[in-house]
Amino acid sequence: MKRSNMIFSDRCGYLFIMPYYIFFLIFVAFPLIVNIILSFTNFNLKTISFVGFKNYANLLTDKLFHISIRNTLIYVVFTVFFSIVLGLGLALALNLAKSWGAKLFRGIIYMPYVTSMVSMSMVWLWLYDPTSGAVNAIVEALGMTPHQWLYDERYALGAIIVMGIWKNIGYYMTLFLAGLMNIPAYLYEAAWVDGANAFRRFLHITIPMLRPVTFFILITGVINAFNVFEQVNVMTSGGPMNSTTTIVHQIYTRSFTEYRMGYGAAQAVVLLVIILIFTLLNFRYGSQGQDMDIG
Amino acid sequence: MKKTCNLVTVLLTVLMLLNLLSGCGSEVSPTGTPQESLLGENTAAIDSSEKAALPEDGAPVTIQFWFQGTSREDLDFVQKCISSFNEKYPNITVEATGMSSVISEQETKLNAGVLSDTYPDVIAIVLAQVGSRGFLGDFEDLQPYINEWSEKDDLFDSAYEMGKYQGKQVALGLFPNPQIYTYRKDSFIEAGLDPDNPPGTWAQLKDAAEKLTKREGHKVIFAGLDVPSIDSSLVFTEPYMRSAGSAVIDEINLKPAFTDDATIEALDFISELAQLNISIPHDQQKGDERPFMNGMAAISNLSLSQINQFKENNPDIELGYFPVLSKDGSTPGTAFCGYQLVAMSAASKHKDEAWLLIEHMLSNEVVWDRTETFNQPIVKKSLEEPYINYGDSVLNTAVLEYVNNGKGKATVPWISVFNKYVSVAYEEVINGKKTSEQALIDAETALLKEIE
Repeated sequence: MKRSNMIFSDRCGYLFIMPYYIFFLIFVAFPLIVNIILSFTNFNLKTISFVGFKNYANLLTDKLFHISIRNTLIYVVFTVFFSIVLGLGLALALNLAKSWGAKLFRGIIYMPYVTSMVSMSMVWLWLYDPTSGAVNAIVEALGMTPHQWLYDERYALGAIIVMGIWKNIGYYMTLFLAGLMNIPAYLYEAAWVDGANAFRRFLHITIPMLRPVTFFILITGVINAFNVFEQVNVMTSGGPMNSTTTIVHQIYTRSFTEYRMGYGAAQAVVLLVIILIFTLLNFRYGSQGQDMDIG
Repeated sequence: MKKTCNLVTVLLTVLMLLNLLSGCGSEVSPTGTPQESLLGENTAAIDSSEKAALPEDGAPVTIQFWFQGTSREDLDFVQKCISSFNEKYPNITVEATGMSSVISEQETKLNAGVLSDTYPDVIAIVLAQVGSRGFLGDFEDLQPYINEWSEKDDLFDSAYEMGKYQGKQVALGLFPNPQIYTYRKDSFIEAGLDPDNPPGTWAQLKDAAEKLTKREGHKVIFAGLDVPSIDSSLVFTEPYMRSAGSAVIDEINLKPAFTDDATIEALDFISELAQLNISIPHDQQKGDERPFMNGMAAISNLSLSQINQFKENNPDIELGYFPVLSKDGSTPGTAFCGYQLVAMSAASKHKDEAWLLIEHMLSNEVVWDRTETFNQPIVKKSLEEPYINYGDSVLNTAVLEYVNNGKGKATVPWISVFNKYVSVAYEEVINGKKTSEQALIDAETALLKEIE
């Protein structure tokens, strides 16, 4: 009786998770496998033939691809780091403020995250306009030198990074806020009683207790940042002088404007491997499951 | 109880699966991913005096037509074209979709069409696509249809030449699309220049551009000349290369030919222009962002549709047109003159009907209508004289000069790769990162590696 109950409940569970796994197989696993197979071919929309590791060998000498990897890594590091730091800062500030204004401010900061990246890219194109854009107007008002943000290879990637941070900061702030609200108040009280100042409470209570949230943000943030494409394609098309081209932008260019789908697939596999390494490192050293004994 | 639970579980799962499958599936839309989509309407009976050959069985047929442009004017014109087509062929429905003017976006759309089997039956393309898409075998050979066409001798020779890929007639020219150096006469007067005597050489252009520029400190607030910061299609750059004597691409041997002294000289000149600080940064491909179009420049090279749009938005500003710029007056210059062409998909299931639409688009009626609507040049010999005498004769004279002295993009399969590397070379030179020679050599090396 017990065993038949177990079998029954197992079957129930499998039936309920089956739709998701069918979706996963069709839209994730199958395309992934096809992509890996394509990476060993010279598919160009019309013809296909097996070329072995030629695409991967070409990647080793493709300077443009190396530039895109460098640009993407810079984008990932700066966007994720500053989004986390600023998101945490905003969350701490909003956690202390209890007025209705804080709630309104929270909503406003979150809004960029839910807007279309393409629409926001168009807005930031105008903001960065060298002649009539708001950014240069503010810079000039502050007495600094205006720049051709998206037309200068020294600043273009930084401009894209700033836009990326602006878009994500609300989401990270919300997650950190949720994490902060889950920290028991008595921990802070006990620390205060023991003479710990605000900084030490932050360092020894807040940060450790936020570790699971930070780990989640780091994983998802890094994966999203590696996939940066829309703002690059809309705002700079990878220029000027390839200073903003990213891995996904290269995949798109090779596959859809040069018809080298096999080569684009090989680049996509490389991206997959890079993200996989980052994710595994995070799981290994990110201490996701560390529990604090607060008993 | 257990049996009921089982049944409920199974029913719920089936329901979820059905929802999932219905969400995945969708009615195949004949219009693919249109930005705007028009349905040709069946009109009344055909005028017996204009009765033309109908498909043999007269059965209703729907064909897809993708055209260039997404503006209101483009849509209205195509609608009119389709309506007049339907008067002759009421059983052929034409579903028309506009494409972005940005070439890379068009390529994406076409590739999506190939992969999803929604490639249009008839497509309006630009010159560069004759090579890039012709190489992929996208287009049907039109020669068998042309052989039976009653108007074949009336079409410009260039309209045939531009549509050939490796000897095969894969497209026919709809109209030439020159980029014309246009200037504001009011700015010339203000700067003390003769508004009726525009520059004709590179040196004269440079002088005029300097005098026309207005600055606040270092910042240019009114550009003397639109020198693009990004020229991904090389529409701005190639005329200078050719005017200096470069072949740019050897189309016979399918090899790059842009590391010669002529190209170096051309890039050096453009670099000089850029260093003069006479322009406002912009992307050549994004026409709406052009400073001239926003009233912030005195000289720019514009397409006819851009000229018409500017005149419509600024009716009080009188425009003038440069002669085709020569390097130094000793040899004639070369302008950029693209072509818009019409082609038939090799995968079309309605080739006869598709040809009827192409024939209609090249009829005198539609060609002249296009001239009246967009002031675009004609491609029919019988319409030459009416065109010269029509509308803005000054502009039309300039147009014909640019068409006669113009050259478009080379029809080679690797044209997009050429654009990619040479446009980077252009940016490196105007930003002072490399010398013209080094930038061009690096671009050629990278291009050759990819071609091989």
